Order: sequence, then C-alpha cells, then structure tokens
Amino acid sequence: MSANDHGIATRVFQPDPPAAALGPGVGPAATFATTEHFNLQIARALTVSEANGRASIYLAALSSNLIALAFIGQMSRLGVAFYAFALILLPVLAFVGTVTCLRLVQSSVEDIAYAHRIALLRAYYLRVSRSSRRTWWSSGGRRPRRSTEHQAHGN
Amino acid sequence: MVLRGTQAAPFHGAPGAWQLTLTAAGMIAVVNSVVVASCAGLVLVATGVDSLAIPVAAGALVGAGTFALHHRHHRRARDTYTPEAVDLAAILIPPTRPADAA
Repeated sequence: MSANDHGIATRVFQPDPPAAALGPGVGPAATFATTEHFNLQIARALTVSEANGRASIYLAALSSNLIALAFIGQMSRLGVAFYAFALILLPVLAFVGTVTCLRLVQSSVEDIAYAHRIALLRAYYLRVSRSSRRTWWSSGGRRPRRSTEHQAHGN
Repeated sequence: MVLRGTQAAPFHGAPGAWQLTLTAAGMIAVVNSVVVASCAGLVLVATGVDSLAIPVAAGALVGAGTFALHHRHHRRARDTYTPEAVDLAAILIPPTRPADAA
C-alpha cells in the first residue's frame, strides 16, 4: 500500500499466480468476458420480460374478449349475433394465442442458451482465478450428468 | 428457430415434460387449448347440434389435441436445442471482406 500525490492510498494489483502464468493477454480477455457476461445477463432478462409482456397481452385480450362475449350474449339472448361474434373473435384469439406460445417457446430456448453461455464464462473466470473455486459453485460450463441429477432429486 | 430433421435426445439437465407445463409458454398453451376447444364446441352448437354432451365431448377432444400439439412443439424445441443453432439464429456474423482475408 502506498500513497499518491493527492494523499490517496493506492495499492498495486497483483493477480493470482495462475492468472499471471496465463500471460499478459488475460487482463483484456477478462474485461471482454465481463462485458460479455453483462450483455448476456441483460439479454436473458430481456427474454424473461418479453415473455411476461407477451403473456400479459394475450391474457388481457382473452379477458376483454370474454367480457365482450358476455355482453353480446346478454343483449342477443344467445342468439345469432352471439354466435357470429364468438365465431369471429375466438379464432382470432386462438391464432394470437398460438403465435404467442410459439414465441414464448423460442424465448425459453434463448434463455437456456444464454444461461449456457454464462456458465461457460464462469468457467473461464474460474480458470483465470483458481482461488475463486472455494467460494463459487460452477458447473464448469458442462451440463450436469444424469446420475448427479438423480441424486439431487433423491432418486 | 426452425425445427427440422430427426428428434435429438434431450440434453441432461433439461426441464422434464411436466416442468414444461409450468413455464409461461405452457400456461399460454393450456389457455389457448381451452379457447380452441370452446371455439370447436361453439361451431358444433351453431351448426344445430341440440345435445349438450356432443359439443362438450368434441370440445374436450379438440382441446386435448391442441394441448398435445403445443406440448409436442415445446418438447421438440427443447430437444433440438444446441448452442450453435441458437447462435446461428440470433447472432449475425458478417462475411469476411476480401481485404480482411488477404
């Protein structure tokens, strides 16, 4: 620990011996990895928020559709107008629901992909700083084996 | 993401079939199946079927089929997942320029 011209204490950063052995390019690479990790987390949060938004829009459309159907049914006493109204609105709603479901499936797969990439980055962090192994849990970027999974579920 | 080809084995650690129903896509699949089923029942009633049991049974069948289709698509999307395919679908890799290649 030393002090600079303004009297502020400074400390020279000394990387872990394994990190220093990896070469001088580790510093920029770690910065790139951290930035990528941050971007992946944002992208993952975006998939979740997009899924929530789409699901909310669909449920709101469904709710308003059912209320409208109830009004029409009451006014027409379940006559021809009710069936015409329902048979126009319900297929449209079914189409919107199908498209929403397809997009939500895509979002969930993208979420898995982002989680996988974040696991790879965490494995890289552990390679650079081996002392972090004691405090972090990580799959090392690998998918868990079936036997481990069964043990975790008590099977 | 386009699903083509043969079905791959699900990767280890992937959510199970019942767990897929608990996702947002599974919830929308269930609700949408009910909508499609009610639509099918209303079509039968509008065509002049007087009995209540027939539209209900037909709606239940159509709803179960629709839910099975949704679920099948979700399972296939999960099983065909590979990181490389997602990268190809989500990341634009510009072609190499001649100046860079030289």
